[in-house]
Amino acid sequence: MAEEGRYDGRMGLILTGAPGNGKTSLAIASLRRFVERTEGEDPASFWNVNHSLQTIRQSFDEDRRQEGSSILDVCRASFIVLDDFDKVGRVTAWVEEQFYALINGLYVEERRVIVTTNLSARRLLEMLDDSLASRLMEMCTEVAMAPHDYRAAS
Amino acid sequence: MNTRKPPERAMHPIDKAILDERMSALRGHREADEKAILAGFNEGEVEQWRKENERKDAARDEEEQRRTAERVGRRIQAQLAGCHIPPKFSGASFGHAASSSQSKGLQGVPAVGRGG
Repeated sequence: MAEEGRYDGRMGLILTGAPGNGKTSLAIASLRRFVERTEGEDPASFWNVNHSLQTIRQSFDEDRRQEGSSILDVCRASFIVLDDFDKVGRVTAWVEEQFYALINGLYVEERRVIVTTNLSARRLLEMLDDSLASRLMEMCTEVAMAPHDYRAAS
Repeated sequence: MNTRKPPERAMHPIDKAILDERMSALRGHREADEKAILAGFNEGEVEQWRKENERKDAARDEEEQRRTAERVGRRIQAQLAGCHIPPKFSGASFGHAASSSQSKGLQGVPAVGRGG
């Protein structure tokens, strides 16, 4: 889609499927292609959701001023990969707050998003607050990846 | 009898054309050729200068393209470095779709690196 120029600002993907079937690789390849096609002019970002939330949490502990800026940083990118979207760990009020800031920020800025998850899109959306699920559904189309584990095969 | 004053070599029209050529290379050369012929230089000399100018133009264009490609390449690399792509997936790209067996599991999707 990025290759064909159909990956416009209001279109995102939720790549779903079993672990090891190439979701992250496909998302990163798309990100790389986007950066190449825009000749590095447009910012792009890769986020492993769990890792990034931990990083934000740590920076929050060290310096409160750092917290909001990380979420804002990812929302500034024109193309964002949110990897392992469902692996947030314990969903606390703080995590919900971060998710809201993240998804709402990407939604209002009409960013290009690729979400990867081992869950189906329906299960993923059930995890989210209705308003966020609605935004994510409007932003993204589900692409169910074929069930083949490349990690096991390698 | 030709009473026209011979041109001063120091102010040769070709030199002037060389200064102007960056603004309008092709037109500049043509004008320079005409001026040089009017100034009494023979066509062989003008042809030689023209070829030399074309060679310089081509070399300059090539150098400019090379520098632009390098600049874009550096910008792409910097942008990708800022994405914090995990090393495990650093090779993920659409670059080897035709030869990779990994495309078998991704129906209709170009092959990418391993992992998920």
